[in-house]
Amino acid sequence: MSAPDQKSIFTCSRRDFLKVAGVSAVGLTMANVFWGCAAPETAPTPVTNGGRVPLKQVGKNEYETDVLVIGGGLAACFAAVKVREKGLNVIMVDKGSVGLSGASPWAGGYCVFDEQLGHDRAEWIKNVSATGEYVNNRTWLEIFMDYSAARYQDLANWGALDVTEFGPVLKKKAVESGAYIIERTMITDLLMQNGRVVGAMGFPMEEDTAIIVKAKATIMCTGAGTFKSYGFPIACLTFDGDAMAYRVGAEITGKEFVDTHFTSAEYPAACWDQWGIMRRGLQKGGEPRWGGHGLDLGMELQAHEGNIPTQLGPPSGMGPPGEGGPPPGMGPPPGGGPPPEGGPPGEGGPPGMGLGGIIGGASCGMGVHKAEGIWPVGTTCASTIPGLYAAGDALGSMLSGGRYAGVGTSSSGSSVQGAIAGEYAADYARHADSPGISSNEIDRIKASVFEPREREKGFSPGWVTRTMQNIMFPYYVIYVKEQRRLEGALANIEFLQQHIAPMLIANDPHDLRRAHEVKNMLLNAEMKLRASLFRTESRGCHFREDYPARDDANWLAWVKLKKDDKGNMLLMKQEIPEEWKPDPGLSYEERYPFLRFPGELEFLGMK
Amino acid sequence: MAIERIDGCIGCGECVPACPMDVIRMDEKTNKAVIKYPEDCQICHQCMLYCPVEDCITITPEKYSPLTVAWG
Repeated sequence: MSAPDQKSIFTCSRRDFLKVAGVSAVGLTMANVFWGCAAPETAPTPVTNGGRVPLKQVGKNEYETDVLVIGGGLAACFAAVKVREKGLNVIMVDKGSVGLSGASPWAGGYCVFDEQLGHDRAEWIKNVSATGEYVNNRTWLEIFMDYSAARYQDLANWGALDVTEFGPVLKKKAVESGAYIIERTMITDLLMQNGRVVGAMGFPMEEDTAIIVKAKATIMCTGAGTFKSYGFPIACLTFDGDAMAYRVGAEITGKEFVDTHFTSAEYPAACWDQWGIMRRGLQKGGEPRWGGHGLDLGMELQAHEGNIPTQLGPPSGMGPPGEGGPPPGMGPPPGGGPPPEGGPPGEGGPPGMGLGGIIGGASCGMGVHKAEGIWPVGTTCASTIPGLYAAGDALGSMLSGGRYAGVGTSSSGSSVQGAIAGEYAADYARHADSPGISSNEIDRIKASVFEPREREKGFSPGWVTRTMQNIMFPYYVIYVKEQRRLEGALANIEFLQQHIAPMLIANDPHDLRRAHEVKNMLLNAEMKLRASLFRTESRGCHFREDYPARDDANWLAWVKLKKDDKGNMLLMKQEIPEEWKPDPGLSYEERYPFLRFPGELEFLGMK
Repeated sequence: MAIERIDGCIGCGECVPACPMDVIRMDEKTNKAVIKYPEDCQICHQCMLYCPVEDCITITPEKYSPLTVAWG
């Protein structure tokens, strides 16, 4: 049975829509787009059967450029185009295809701050701060409001707004601007020289070859991630950027908050049936509303009470779509209530939700949009590591704080940050020395990248992934949290990292991708569990049963983590600026009007 | 289950890069698309979106997973 009638979503036939899109997804005939395969003179003997391959048979393909952009979505394309506008060279490396991987293809709402539409800066700051429960970074919101209209205009100029499938248009723009694109190539390790990032290494999907890109500056546009949870179409995103940055000593933030996307209980893995409605092209609209647009822990708290199937009810701040309402497909379907019994998905009830109601956890592993990732220094998208920048969902700007006020600020937010990162990374690269990393160091990293390909016996990435999922998926671990459950999960995750992951095997390069992805997901699991244990309060989309109230005396702060000298994960608290704290004259319920956590008022002695 | 069948492929190759999960490959001998890693399909339909042949790729909303076992 194929998906609900696609023609009802697209107003033209498939052939017509491809013509309108105008650009082939393949793009192999375009100059400057490659799949990371070795040039003939360095090609190893092709491995046609998969299976183990000795390291000495793994070739190397080296590139050098001014700026390396890792990723291929909205943030990455804007970054690459801006680097080229500055007259420097840029190489983009995407694990999938530029414009077609990660969350970007599913961007529906594109929020643009526009005073002519009656948008008010002070009101937006107030709405985001209250919804984000004050751990939002207002500076990044100001930057967003400054530049979102300009990025929207860029998209209009590029023709990205004229089509439903804008991914190929972004790619075409990147190529036409002179970016060199390497696709279907997973980057796994940053290259370091004297404490500075000087590029990265990875491998393509169809060949046992190391792809090495030396660069004066590197921009991480790798998006967010999940634990390959079912029902939200971002299973290709596995926090590769957060992991790579962490391993070279960068600071990471936002890991204690969770995203609350959902799926149908009857067909939990059917992403298209749930979210296909998002593929209508970029729709200008949306704004951060007082109380946000419904992505909160309400459903998880209902499930915890045994109220299954859960009812969406009227989520806080959610109204029917329409003027000023959320763009189609964003947030819980309007009307709430359980879907009618019977009928295939797509008929009756909310689209795609079908029988058995709705379940959360579709994006288990992910944090809040625009509030998770590599900690920025200043406003240039620079990280704490020289030579390393980040933009989009890989950047922990904390623009949204503890809960997403949205709506549509994620896609335009990535665009704004991508452009900034491109400009500043280019400025840095213009004055930076060329990379001089030693070939010994390159060989050392190459050996570690390909180790699972060489290992004779061990654990499969599939089994390790499923075992990790069995630990992290149940709602009572990172949605409804409690100290012993977090510690129990952490003990298991640490064991998988320390004992099992070093014995991963990979039958072929696709399997090698799965092996590296699971290592990155395990690291993200550790980050989420430790950050959740560290923040001993509840706030936004972080709920602790054992600390069920907001604790402004101690926790008007961000949680950051980084690798210490001994290789352990160090947790740090950074207080938010005084001027961003809520008015102390407000009562607790006035400061936090949107969601009452169970047991909260009793915990505070207010009941 | 998930991506099930490719039938009537004309060998354009569009589905391979369209898939963010690297599920599909071109068969070297036939030059047609084949489902190589169906267990990784996330049922996003991007392959169908970019396939120029109507009803060539069949995808169902069900997904199955290997059993939970002691090691593997």
